[in-house]
Amino acid sequence: MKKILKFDKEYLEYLASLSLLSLTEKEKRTLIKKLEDTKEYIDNINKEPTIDVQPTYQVGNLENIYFKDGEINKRQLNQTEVFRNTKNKFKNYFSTKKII
Amino acid sequence: MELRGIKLIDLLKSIEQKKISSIEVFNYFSNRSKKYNKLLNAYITILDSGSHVPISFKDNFLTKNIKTTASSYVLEQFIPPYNSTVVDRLIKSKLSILGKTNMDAWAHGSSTETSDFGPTKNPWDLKRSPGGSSGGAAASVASYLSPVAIGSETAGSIRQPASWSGVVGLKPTYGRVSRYGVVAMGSSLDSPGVLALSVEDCAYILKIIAGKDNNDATTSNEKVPDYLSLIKNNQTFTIGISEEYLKDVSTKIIENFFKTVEVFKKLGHNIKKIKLMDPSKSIAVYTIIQRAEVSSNLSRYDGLRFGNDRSFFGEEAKRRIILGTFTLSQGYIDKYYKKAQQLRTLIINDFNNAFKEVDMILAPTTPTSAFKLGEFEKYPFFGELMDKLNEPSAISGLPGISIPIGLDKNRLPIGMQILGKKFAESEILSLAYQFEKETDYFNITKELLKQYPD
Amino acid sequence: MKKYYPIIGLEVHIELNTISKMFCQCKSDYFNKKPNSEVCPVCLGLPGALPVPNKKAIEYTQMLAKALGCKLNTKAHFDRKHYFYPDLPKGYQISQYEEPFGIGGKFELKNKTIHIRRVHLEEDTGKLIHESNASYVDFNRSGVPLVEIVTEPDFDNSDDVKEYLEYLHLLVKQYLKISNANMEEGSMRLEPNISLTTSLKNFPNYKIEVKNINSFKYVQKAIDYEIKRQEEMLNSNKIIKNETRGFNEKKNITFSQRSKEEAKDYRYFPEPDIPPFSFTEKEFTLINLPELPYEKYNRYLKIDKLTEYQSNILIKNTVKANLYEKLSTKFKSKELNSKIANFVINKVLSFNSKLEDNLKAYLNLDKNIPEDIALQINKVFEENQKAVNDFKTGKENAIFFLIGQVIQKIGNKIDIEKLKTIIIKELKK
Repeated sequence: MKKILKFDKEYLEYLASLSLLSLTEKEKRTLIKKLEDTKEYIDNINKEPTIDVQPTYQVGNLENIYFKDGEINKRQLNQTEVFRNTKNKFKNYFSTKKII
Repeated sequence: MELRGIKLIDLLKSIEQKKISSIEVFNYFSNRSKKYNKLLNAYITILDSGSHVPISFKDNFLTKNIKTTASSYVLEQFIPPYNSTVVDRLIKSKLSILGKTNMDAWAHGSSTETSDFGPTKNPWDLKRSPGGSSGGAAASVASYLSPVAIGSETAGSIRQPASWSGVVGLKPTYGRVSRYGVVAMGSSLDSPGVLALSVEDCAYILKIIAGKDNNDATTSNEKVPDYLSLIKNNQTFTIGISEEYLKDVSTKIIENFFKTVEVFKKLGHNIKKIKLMDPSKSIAVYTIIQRAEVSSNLSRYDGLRFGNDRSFFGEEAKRRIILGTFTLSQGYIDKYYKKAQQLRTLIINDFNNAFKEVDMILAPTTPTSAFKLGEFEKYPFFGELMDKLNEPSAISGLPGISIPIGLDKNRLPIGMQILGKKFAESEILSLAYQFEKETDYFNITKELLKQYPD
Repeated sequence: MKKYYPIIGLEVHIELNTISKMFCQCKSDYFNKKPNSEVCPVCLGLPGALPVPNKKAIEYTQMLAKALGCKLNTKAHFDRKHYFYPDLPKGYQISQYEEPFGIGGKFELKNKTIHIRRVHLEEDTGKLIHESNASYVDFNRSGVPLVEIVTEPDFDNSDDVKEYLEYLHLLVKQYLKISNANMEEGSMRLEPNISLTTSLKNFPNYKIEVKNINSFKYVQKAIDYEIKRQEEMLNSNKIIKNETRGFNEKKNITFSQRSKEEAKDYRYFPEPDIPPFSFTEKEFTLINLPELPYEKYNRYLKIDKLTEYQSNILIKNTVKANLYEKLSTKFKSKELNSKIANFVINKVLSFNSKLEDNLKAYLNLDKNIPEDIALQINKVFEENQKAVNDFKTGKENAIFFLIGQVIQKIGNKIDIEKLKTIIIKELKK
């Protein structure tokens, strides 16, 4: 994979496609500069020493949280609720353009 | 009965004493909200009718059958089929939904200017921002369009607008209040909270919304105390102040800050100097963690099952998604996301050490008072810079409350924050309450209300 | 002509038969339900929805991992796996990357050990149906618990693969009972990956994955076809690139689906909405496994003295095995076990109350003399004095009359020769 030092147009387009975003040429130009600035700033964290430091992915210190299989489903949606907000209903399905 | 400026808990008492009916109270706020919304643009939606004392909800809290947009065109017509837990608990406690308040779209910002539906104006100066992302919430409370507002904070989004708009803003401990039904921004950071004109109202609301939720695996089993009675204990505390949090803060804010410290000394508290990590070090850490989680949480908006497609995202959302994708991508995740989470551990440890010496920490809430609308364009990560003083505690999941402590030369509110240990809301509320009783916030909140007659 | 060694690995997905889905309380039994009827904000990926894990699904996964000889991780967590597809409502799948529930197991073939790299738990996606002009999504399946079992590329032929798959199927369906493992319904899915190498010291630099295979038979055909196809390509000096291929059942060939040239960047990171898991080794020792197939096999062979053939048949059909054991316990005779096994294997077509009687008939047990025969015989003597006297005075045919009377009295089928001997003995008393 590409190792980059700067954000260039090609890399930006790659990230945009990974994020399923389409950008206009104008947006690309504005974004490159802003992303480059942000990247420069966040690169600073690599100066900080973190040898042997465990990452904290969750601050709650919780563990082993579950629900019991077979509990009553209080949140089931009826058909009206399921399709209320979509423009893409066909019979009882969500329709999308053909995927090959 | 003159309602303007009355605390929520006193409104409830008056209704109990039959001095006024709950419907009258609802109509009062609904009418005020409609009257001033053209001016302030604090609301996306205002309801016409309701049976109980109403409160406003930031528009990232899902409300069943009531449009919820997160101030984004993507969700312009989204009608949720369910209530967020916070909304549910408040409705069960006999409060009504007044309306949905404006915010930075997707909570991406500190000025409410990234809203797709126009910025909210600061009730103190209409040319300025009320702060963000809970800007609409803060404005609705400051101008008493709503007695209390529900907001959310990822890092600063309650405290900063509370400070800029001259109201009380409480960000609880991460995991104290359920995130179920809140449009997710930074999953390991988001904290629903309260904005109000008084500490008692914050305590009252917190008791209702706090507590374990089986629908949110990150909520804590920690017992929910009776905050409203605990804050009246008049405890004295050892309070820490760190020089690091006074750097780059405007002179007037520092001045008011130390005036406030004197008040605490007078009330018998012990003030102690402590050393904390420079909050600037949190900016990059927060930016990375937040954007990584944002890029992930916004992946569900593809326009298939609900909402508009991804072309409806605004520029700020697109920018954050792309940067987030970058920090999580192959080859970079260790360097950015993982590294940031390691620094997070160091920040948490830093606070843990400080709390061995002190019960809570005082600091200015923001380095400046409200910016003029449009000024944020200057910086690519303006929000993160503005929230510098809030980020370390947010990253660590700690509770914090911002209270108004004065006005600056431009007659703009200045805020101060009290930070506590995890689940020490009753302590920070207690200290805030003592300050409120002693000073009544120097009449700041009452002063603004003169500008917003019924 | 160079010699090529096949390098084959297998990825199997198994849908668990828990009542609820993996992260919400919707029913996981989605097959043949009205589309989009078993959904909630969580499995539909609505804004604000959050996942909470199903405890039973995790227990089942750990059971399976233990049964496969895996090391169970004392620390485990879920990760988000990001990609966009209409059947993936959140734009990421909650799966496991760095700390799965089980790692490092194995499966023993006769002459080889297949190493199992990992056993992990994730959520299933919705179902996509393709029509001529559009595609349709049903989210009933979204969020159903799915266990993924990945082997090292230790296989080198399709027969061994079939044996492994049949064992997995048996294990999860009949022994652990954690899945319906029905390939047609999609509760068991197989993905072999196949490469060839000229030397076992060099790992091939490409991998072909074959997806959408609906039966074990077709997996074998797909693998055999791929080996041949790749051999031909390599012999003509063509370079093979990473690829995902499908399988055409009618033509028995694989075909290209999409290029896997670029490794997908899934941007895995730990799921922030679900706290991590922490277990103790002691808890793991308390995970109760039922007797496993090879344990049962050894017991039948060595203790019950059944043949290899019989043991093999019985372990593959636990209903019959249970019946065999029930009958074997009743008759309490090691010598009869093999016959009882034969009876159960060959003669039992349906289950009814006459089963034991039928078995007794099969075993000719009725021909055994009942214990109280002496009493019965003497009763007959009492009732038929004339016949007794006749026999005693030399009329030997009278014995047949007496035999008939005894048979009438007892009412069972009986070994006539033996009975005759006993009657004569009694007469002589």
